[in-house]
Amino acid sequence: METIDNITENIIIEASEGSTEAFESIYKAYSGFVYNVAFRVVNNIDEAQEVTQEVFLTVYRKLKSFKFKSSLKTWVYRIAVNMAIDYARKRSKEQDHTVLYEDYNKLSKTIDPVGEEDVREEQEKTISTLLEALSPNLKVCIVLRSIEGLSYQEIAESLSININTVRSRLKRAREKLIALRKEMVKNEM
Amino acid sequence: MKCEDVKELILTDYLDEQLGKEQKTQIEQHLTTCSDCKEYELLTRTAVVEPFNNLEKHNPPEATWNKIREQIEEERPQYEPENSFADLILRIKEFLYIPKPAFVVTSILVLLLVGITVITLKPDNQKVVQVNPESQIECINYLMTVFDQEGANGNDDFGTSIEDYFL
Repeated sequence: METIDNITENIIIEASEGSTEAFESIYKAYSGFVYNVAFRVVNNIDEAQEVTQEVFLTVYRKLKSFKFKSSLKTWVYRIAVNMAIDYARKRSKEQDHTVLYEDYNKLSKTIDPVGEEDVREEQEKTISTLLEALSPNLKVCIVLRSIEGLSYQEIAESLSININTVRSRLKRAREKLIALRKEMVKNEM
Repeated sequence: MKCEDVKELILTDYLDEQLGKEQKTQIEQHLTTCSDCKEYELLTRTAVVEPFNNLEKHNPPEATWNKIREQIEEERPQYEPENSFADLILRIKEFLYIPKPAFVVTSILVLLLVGITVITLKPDNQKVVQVNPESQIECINYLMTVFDQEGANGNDDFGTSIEDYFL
């Protein structure tokens, strides 16, 4: 039997017929990716859990129509990425990013990283601030490439876009990040 | 290679190690001679690569799966696939299943065949009755003389008791 990322075709069929055990295998295989992408894109733990839940319920409901044309991994990634972008778009309308950057400035001046935990916390704050400066479309490209380590081809398939669009989005995102990082370093000094 | 092209590749394929061997060597050679591009490469690494290195991965809490499980158990198809009457019906249906287009095409063909047969074949047991026009005229003449004679005799009754009573 053909295997797709340790998920056999049988598991997919059983899950589509309502087997909780089979669906749990699918959840275990992809929940880490889905949750991490959601967390980085929406930048909020509660919403990341909500996105993860919605993604897997959508996967469960649509599993019967899965045609095995693409890998299950790509299919799940596509659902996850689109849902995370939708959530981020909804939230970005409600939130002012400059507030986050100001928060970062206050925090970075009060935290003087000494221990490993502090360094990690500092890194998390930097990443959060950098990502929040990007639009959902650019942000997701950075998350998929720089955090999840997907190849350009995999990013293109997950986002259903051309590989050159992936390149141009990464370029634009990184140019923005460089400008922001320069500003952050200047403020820290 | 122009600095502009090199910088563009530094931002994308070069830092992401997506370049072929030949192109990678070209850029590395350029970087040994161009201090501006070398500086840009270092800046890019510090600003957009290093912050993402060794970033902690998060896992969803157990509660997320519990909520998903509860929901999918509510939505689970009602039939039990093993040893059930519904399963038997389903198997019979699958066994007798004819794909929709094939069924439609077959039905149309059968209807066409029946139609053509009915139109073209003349049934053997139906003889065409040919009536001689002379014998028809003879028959009509005979009937007319009989009615004329009866009318002349004034004999319109049939001799029944009920006629006797009324007439």
